[in-house]
Amino acid sequence: MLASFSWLDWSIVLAYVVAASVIGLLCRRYIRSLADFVVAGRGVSAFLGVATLSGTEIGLVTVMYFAEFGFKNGFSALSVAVLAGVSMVFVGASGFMIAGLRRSGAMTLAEYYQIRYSPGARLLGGIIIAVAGILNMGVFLKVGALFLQKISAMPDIINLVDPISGDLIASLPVINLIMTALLILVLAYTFVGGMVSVVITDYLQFVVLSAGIALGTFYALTNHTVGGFDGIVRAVSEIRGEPGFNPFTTEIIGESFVGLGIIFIIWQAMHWLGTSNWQTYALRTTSVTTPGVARQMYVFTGLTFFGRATIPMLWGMAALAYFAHAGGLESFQGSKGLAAMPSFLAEVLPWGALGLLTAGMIAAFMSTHDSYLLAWSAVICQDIIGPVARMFGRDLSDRVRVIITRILILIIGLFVLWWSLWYQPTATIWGYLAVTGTMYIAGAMMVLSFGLYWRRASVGGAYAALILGCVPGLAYIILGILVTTGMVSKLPHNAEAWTGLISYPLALAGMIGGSLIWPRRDGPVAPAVPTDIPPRMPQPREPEAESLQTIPLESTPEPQGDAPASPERDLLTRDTDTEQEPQRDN
Amino acid sequence: MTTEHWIAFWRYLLYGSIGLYFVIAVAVAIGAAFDVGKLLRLLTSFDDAPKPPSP
Repeated sequence: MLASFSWLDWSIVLAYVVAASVIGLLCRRYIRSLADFVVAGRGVSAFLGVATLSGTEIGLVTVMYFAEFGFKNGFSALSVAVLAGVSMVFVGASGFMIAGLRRSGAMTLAEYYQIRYSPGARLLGGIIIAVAGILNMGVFLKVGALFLQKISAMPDIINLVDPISGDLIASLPVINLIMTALLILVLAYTFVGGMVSVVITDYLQFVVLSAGIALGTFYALTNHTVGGFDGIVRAVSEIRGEPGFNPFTTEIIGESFVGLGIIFIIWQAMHWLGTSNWQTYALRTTSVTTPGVARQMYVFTGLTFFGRATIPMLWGMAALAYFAHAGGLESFQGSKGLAAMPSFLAEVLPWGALGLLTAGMIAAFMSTHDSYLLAWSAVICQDIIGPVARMFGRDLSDRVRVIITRILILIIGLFVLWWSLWYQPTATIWGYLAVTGTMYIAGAMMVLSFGLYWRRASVGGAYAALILGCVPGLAYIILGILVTTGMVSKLPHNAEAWTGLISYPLALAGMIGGSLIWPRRDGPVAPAVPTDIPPRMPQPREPEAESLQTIPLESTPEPQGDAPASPERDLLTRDTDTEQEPQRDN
Repeated sequence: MTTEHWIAFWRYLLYGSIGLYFVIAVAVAIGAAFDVGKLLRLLTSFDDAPKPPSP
């Protein structure tokens, strides 16, 4: 199969990687402050916001896990696409949470916790966000490397042989080499360029990725062996049965648990509603020029989110049909289902198209990885190290924070490489990602939404929501580690869905119960959120620290007593579209 | 809902979402091309801004 990935395909891939890396490195000249590095100077407008959010969230990992999900669950998998798209459009149309978050002026979600609740809530929130987020991206490298290995039909092992004696020196797993190469590539330009690099390369990646997706979809649907939509229906019907079409039913076929079920659907509905709190989404929310632009970005991105899920799921179902009709389906049982889609594409795509699709997928990988590295390192720097340093009476300068963020990018990258090599996900990749995401999203959703819309939300409620929302996911990961080390044989069927499902009611109970048990000492008041951040104006270049556009958090006044909040501070009464466009130099 | 209903539903969803994705992708690609230029101009506006008078 190696012959199918020709010199033309390798040339396309290399040309793209070089171009993206050079652009990322050139972006270094635009980095002058932490705001530039982390939120691109808050200068991202609607179209670019959609491109960069879509570019980030349509990653190679996304394509792989949704394809695996389609391969294993048939058409029922598409219900996740419906929930994702509808939730995003709803959040964008209503401004639910995102408008308030952008208006708060916070650069990260945890920064909002401090503005609304307390420095302690910020620290706890930052720790949970960072732990959940880094665990979440822990499987990215392995999944990305598996795709590249399968689509280019590389061997599993490379044997190093002594050229003189002919003795075997070492056998190196190819997937580990690809993981290391991918990590070095992404670290190189995220480390140097920051968010400006991320935003601009995201745009390039969005374009290349869309072209690759178009090619893949065309060949998946027109391949003779697959048999088009009707051929996929036949294969799903024969292999997955009723649960392959009806997402509310489940079935045990042999030793396999097939189907999604009502528990999974309810969990996913809550999960997608809260996904706007996910740090990479929140970072885009805080990067755009105004809250109105944030809403536009979510509506349009939500519309693309239907396709973001359905297209790779279609590829996964097409792979199921292809191997069912051509033979070889038994090679992709259990956890090997992840390899079905790239193996299928490697067989059906012609020369050139294979290279373009692979370049698009590498683009998707880089786009996601750079944003995630930046997002989690920014959280640790801004929300954990910064506040802790302040507790000890040390204020970190803008320059020091940029240096720390860069060092953290390197450390997180190395951890992700280690975790990818060691940890074995117990179920589908989507199950793992959704559970680790829920660890943080469940609590964050309650803390942010109640902070914005419930005057009685207190610090005690925030602590309780964050902790209780995190506990089930943490228990799941610990059990997964026990499975990896062989201390537990396997997790029960549907463990991910139950873990996710109980996280949200627990976080909700924590927020309401905690706020009632430990009410605000100063009584119910309007949420403490500062006014809109002023638009960025041209300034002299000299004072670097002054270009950072964060609110000095320690000086943010907390509303006192029962005094009514000023109109511009009260998110409950403000029209979300009254923001002004920033003035720019044209 | 019968299996036939589900198949019809998934067929419309699949083709509709794929079409919508590419329509938006083309529109965003064109619109964002202008935005990239604007963003870079905004970030380089430091260089163009008048320097404060020296004491």
